[in-house]
Amino acid sequence: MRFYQLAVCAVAITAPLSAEIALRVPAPTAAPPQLFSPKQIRSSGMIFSGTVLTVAHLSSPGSPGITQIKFKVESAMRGTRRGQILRVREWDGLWNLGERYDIGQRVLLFLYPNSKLGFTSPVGGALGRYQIDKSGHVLVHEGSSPRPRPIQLRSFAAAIKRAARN
Amino acid sequence: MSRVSLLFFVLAAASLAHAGGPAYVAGASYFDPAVKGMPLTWANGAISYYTDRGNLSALLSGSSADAFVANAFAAWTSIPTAAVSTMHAGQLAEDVSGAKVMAAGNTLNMPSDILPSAIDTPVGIVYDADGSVTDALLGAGASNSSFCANNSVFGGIDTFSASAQLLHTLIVVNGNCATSSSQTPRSSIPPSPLHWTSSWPRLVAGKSERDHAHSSADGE
Repeated sequence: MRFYQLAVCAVAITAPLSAEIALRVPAPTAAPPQLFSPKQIRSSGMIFSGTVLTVAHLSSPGSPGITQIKFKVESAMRGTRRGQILRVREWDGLWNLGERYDIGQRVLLFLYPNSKLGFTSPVGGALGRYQIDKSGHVLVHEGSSPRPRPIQLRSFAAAIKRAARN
Repeated sequence: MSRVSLLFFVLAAASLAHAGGPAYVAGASYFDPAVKGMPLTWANGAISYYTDRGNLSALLSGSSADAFVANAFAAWTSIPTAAVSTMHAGQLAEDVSGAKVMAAGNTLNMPSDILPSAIDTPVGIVYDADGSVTDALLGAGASNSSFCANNSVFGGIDTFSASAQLLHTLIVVNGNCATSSSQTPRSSIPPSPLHWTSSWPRLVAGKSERDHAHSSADGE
């Protein structure tokens, strides 16, 4: 299947692009997972974990739409404050590409600084977005494993803050 | 490595373009009742696309970029089971740049022939030579070549009809990802970056891994 082969080649090409940040965390994780890259940190204007409060699709007749998401910031790592109600605006075209949010969903996001239009999106697309499970673990996908590795949010946030200082 | 894993899933999703189920299925609240449950498709499987009047980069002039785009489409349409055909029907009316993408309040303004309502140019392909369109729509710095594996090309379906037909797609190609031969491997003419080619069906037919979890299009 040609596209499958292309995908495998693309992964092989992109895998060594940059050094990754590793984090040693206690159980349930056994080995140090690869969490994020320095370039993700460098490119981010906002890094935080939070809960989705509202999702609205704003549009004017004949105009491309705007998706407006409000988050309650729970852990502020860059450009945000804990407890802040953060309004994020995205170009609505991303919604149809799968960049969707559900009310009540918990996520950890690396977001670009707002553009001249006031838009942002996760850094590197899906790479800048992590799901947080009900027990407060950041779900990190590794390699080809279909099951994400749960990382304690506190540990993940600490690693981001350390990396951001360097 | 979470990013590589996610990238794998994004790219692998493109492989489903001819083998998987439909990306969008007509729902109940917007579509004609007669098409409820039907997949959204391009009319007669024919896709007419229009390309930017400008250059993609110093490496790829407008005509070279057009050839590249044709090559990317061909990688998809040449699959024996692909029930689609594509045609370069012409050019957009302008060289689209970030200066032509503006917002005022909740209104986003772009050239009229790439708006969702521009169904006479059903697939508009923007050559974002300096990355300014990418930066405007995705966030400041999003066009940086560090993220070409993810941000080299983006866009997607933005208009469909009540009769379950796809009507308009906007695709933005980031020129910052076409500035060196290393980004256009094997010196093929036209060059064909792997991730661009594999992203194509996802953008034009709306394929992504997450679409399978959101497979009912209710005209949201």
